[in-house]
Amino acid sequence: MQESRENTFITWLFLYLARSTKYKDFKNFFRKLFKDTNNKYKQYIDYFLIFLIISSVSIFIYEVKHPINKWLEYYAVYFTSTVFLIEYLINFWLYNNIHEEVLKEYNQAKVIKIQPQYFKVLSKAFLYKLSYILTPVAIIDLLAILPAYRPLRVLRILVLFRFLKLLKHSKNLNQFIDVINDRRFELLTLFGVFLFVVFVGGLAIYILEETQNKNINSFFDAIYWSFITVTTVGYGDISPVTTAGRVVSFIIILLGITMVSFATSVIVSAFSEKLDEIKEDRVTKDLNKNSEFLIICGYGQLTKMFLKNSLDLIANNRYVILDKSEEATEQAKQDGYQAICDDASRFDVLKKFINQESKITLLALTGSDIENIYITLNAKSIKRKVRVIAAARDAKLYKKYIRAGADRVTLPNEIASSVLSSAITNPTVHKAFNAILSSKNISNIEELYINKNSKIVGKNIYNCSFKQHNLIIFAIKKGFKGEFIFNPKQDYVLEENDIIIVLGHKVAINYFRNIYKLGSY
Amino acid sequence: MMEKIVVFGYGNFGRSICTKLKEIDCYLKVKVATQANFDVAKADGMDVEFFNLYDDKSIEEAGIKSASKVICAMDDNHENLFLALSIREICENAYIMALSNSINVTGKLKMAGANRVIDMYNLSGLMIKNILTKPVASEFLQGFINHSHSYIFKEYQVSYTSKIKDKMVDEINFEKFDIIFVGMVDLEKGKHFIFYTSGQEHKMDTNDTLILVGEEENIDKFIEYCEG
Repeated sequence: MQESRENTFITWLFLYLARSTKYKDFKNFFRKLFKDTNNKYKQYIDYFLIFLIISSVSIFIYEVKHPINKWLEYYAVYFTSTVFLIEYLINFWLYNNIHEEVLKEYNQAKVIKIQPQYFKVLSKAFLYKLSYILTPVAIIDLLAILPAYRPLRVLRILVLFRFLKLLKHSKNLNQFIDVINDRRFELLTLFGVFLFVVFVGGLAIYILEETQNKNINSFFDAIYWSFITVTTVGYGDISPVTTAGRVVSFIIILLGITMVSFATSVIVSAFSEKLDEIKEDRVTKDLNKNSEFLIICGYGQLTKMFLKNSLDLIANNRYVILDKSEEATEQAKQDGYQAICDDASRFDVLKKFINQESKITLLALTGSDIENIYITLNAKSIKRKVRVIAAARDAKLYKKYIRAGADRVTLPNEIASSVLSSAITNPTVHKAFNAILSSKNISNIEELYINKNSKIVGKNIYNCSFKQHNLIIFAIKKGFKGEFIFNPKQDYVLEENDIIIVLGHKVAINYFRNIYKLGSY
Repeated sequence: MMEKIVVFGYGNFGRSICTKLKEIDCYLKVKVATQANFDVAKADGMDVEFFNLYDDKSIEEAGIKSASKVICAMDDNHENLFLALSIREICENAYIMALSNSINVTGKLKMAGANRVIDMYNLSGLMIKNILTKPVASEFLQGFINHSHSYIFKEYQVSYTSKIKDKMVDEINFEKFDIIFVGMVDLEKGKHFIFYTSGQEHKMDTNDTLILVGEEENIDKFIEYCEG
């Protein structure tokens, strides 16, 4: 099989594009920037484009009656149009991947040992790309660029399309359109009835008053009167003069009020139905903008207790509670928490919350071990680096949780029975341990991270005056994955990456941390 | 004399508690209300008997008057509350311990007469918070709960003849025994536990209780030294 020179070049070019990670990363970068609503940088692009639209339109409006500076004209006409043109071309480029189609054809041809039919594939791929040009969004984008063409002043009317571009970049307008779109059937039906009433009303007044009413000179005048009356605007420039005409007015005014009320109620009810969805969508988007956040699955007693003890952790709203029970979700909302009714064991649900950039911790705290394990697997399958902390009701399932990928597993029954058992055998130990666990001011257990800037590196414990600060060193861990060295000797030399576990007063620990420049988690 | 403990209930909570209590030196009696729980307890080798929750006589027959501790570990909150109330009515002096799985139930159990209520989800909630904010320290603490490391918390009550009696805390060399002194109940200052980290001076008196952390063998050596 001998390939033609053109085919060889196309194969080389598209194979290069398909195999080049740099090209993929480059395109992916733009895709995330322009298309990924969870990308925090996308909002800056949107804000920038909104600013360009509003400022350029304002300049165009001002320019109608007043002369403007040359640089303002350059900005409103050429700069903004160039930016819009670049945006248009990027969207065109991102619309589909031609090289993937070509590669598919190449591989298929290779298998059956024939010449690849690149012309057919390329034509199809280009036609698909060209179909982008005909999408409403692309048409608006293109028309928004045209006011830059100065010789044709009539094109300036196209500045209106710059405002339509706002629809694409404004979340609120998009949501409004979504709501209207959801009630498309009802609103279109109503619009049909409206046109019918306007037409019948116009026809009636035309037949009844055309010869007697000096303001009605044509059928258009009659339709205009009918339209103004049905919409309840009533300018008063045309009004019926005969009794029959006035009766027609009564009827179409009543029908008009009914239709306006009906349309209002349709839109309002659509909004109220969509409100929860809009709010949840906003929570998801806001959450994904954070560099670090928490996903709590399940709103049972354990979650309630965790939240009660962790008000400082959730103060900045960097968390969301997911529970598939509507009742539990409602309860969580009533308790003042940010909750969404959804099933965290579903891939598509969790995928919305797990982005690749943020540091995410997931708490699997539902009442069912099977569900918790499933959620753990689900989260890990989306992003390996998600930190999963799970609560196992049955201690025997501990290993299954670890196998599923859980980073830490707590055993509520086990903890409670251990504590109860110690309350029986060693009541004072029980008190002390409980106080340490709840990290009261005086019994705060903390970890101090030694980094290269810490003033403690190379010193031995004796010289670091732990005792003078009333701090007890329980243990030292040699790095995150190292072993614990329990009760290290006074001559132990502290090294970089050591993690010191100390017990002491919160104030003393913070003071010690500051003077020795020690880090925290 | 061996301590007698009566546990009511052998569901999720009860079974878990009994397994822990079996490890300590005590006479353990399990009372259950259902055949299913009876079978499981029997299979686990427990000394188990039936009781009727609505019959005070049946509860009394469990030996709650002679028991040093009575544990309410029914899986159902309502039953647990009713049981605590009945036990308190039958025996004014019983030391009732109960497990709770909600903050509202904790308060009600105390009102019903329980002396100590362990809120299982509160502890786990605290543990999860610790895992999030201080993962290494929480791993260290968890080691004490699930016995994954060899160090334990142990208490030592100063006897009349103890070598450390009348000594100040700073005069005692805990390091020599490779143990850590965490704090104590200094009866001179009250019955509450005082952490060493509070910086207060303490003199060892008879019946003061010290909390020590270390390998059990080392703590025992220290106790032997004190009592020897």
